[in-house]
Amino acid sequence: MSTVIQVLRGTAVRVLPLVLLVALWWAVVRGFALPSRLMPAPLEVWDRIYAGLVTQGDLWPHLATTLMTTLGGYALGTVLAIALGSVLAMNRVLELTFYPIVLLIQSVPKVAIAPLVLLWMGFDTRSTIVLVALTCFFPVFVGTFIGVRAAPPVLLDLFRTLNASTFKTYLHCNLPSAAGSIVAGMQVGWGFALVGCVVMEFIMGMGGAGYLIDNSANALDAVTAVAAMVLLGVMGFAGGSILQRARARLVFWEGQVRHG
Amino acid sequence: MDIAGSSAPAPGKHTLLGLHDVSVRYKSRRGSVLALEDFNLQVEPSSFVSVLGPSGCGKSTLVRLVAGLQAPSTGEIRFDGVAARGAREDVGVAFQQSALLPWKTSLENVLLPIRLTGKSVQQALPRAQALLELVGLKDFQDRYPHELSGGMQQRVAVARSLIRDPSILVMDEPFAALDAMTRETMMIELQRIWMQTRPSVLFITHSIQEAVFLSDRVVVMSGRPGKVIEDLPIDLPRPRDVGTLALPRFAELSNHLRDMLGQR
Repeated sequence: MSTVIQVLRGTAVRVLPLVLLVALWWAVVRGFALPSRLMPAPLEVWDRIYAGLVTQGDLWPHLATTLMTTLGGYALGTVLAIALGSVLAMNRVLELTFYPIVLLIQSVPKVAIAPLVLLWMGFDTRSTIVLVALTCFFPVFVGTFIGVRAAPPVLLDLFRTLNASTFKTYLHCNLPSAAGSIVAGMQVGWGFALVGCVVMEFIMGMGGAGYLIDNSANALDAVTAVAAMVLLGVMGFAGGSILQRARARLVFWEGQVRHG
Repeated sequence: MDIAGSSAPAPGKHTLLGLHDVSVRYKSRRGSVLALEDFNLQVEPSSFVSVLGPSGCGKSTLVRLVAGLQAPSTGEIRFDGVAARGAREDVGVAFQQSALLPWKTSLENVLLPIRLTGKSVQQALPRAQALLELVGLKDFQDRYPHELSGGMQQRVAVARSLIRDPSILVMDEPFAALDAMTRETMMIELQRIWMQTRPSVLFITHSIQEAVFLSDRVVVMSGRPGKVIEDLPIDLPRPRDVGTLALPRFAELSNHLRDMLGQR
């Protein structure tokens, strides 16, 4: 088989699910004769996206708001999660004290705290950033904690024979061993982060993709709502893909380690 | 190439490492297990001592004691006659697995002990490169562990254990994970490396061939609880090579050790 056919086949396999989904969507809209104000057909949505991004450009400000706010909250949540996950994984006493508290807070659905966050932080972007940080915190925290704990015992023994301090052991052994696990947590966290952001935008109604969906749906403008939804999906997928690639680069040795 | 640093002790009759009436008891839920009992062992400077024993005879415990990873329940470990506790800079350890950091190159792995002690890595660079050359990996200093074979990984580990110029090197079945062909090569290589650097070596193994080929003395341990049941000087001339394996004396010594291991 020639390489051209192989590449084409690879692309086909990746595109196929998307094609199937769009076909199903089209079939449902067509088959049930759904009116466009309830559920638009794929082509209508595509036209709306094209207009919103290219000819009119009215979707950009909302997307930019959502992206920047989510990134801000995500950065905050991730940094805190890696820091706390690391500290708790490296220290038994702190683990016993604080891990149950983290679990307790985790068991409350973050979305339920949204109105309270708004109350505490005020009616602006700060609230969204805090909610985003809260929603994406846990997967990154768990990924970090498990990864740091999973450092190979023989490496930890080596560091002990070299009289390495806890901090240096963490820096040169536990943290790099945990890299793959941390990024895996961050991949999950990115999806959660978008959820947090959209929920806050629903509540505040001051712009962003979430606001756009809420507002358009209320105005029976399903085309815009679905367009915003699709773009959110793209944002989620793009973030996941970037992290996936970052992970492969970061833990280049993974899957090919030949430990004696 | 000056591999042996100035701090290497002159060969002599005094004891570099001494284990005196050492016992180690592990506590588990099903009662306690005696891993080592009244264990005595002396290692002279620049001598190669192998410890041979059946599985589960406390060899690993012995390694952990000398490496400072564990303290004895009773008894004492002395370096140069001084009671010791914890990890020491003059003890190098080579583990059963190569224990290399997969995210660091060979050179960086060899330099790790220097980096961790906060000494100048720049200053240690020529020595690290010389050690990699010594173990035959001059052209592989920028490779990552996953790009090396098992034998090469173990060579990097040996180079790393020598970077701080230890007066004693503890090797815990370092060739156990390698295939038979590589093991034989590594055995001959280790003798060459040792003769050029001359630390004391405490070599833990369950290969009679390796023990006889490499050692000045072979110590045989009994099954649990581990005790010394034989301390056999190996009087084969050095340097030993593949031909040594065919000598009648080699067979004689090997057979004696085989009997010692078999009868217990």
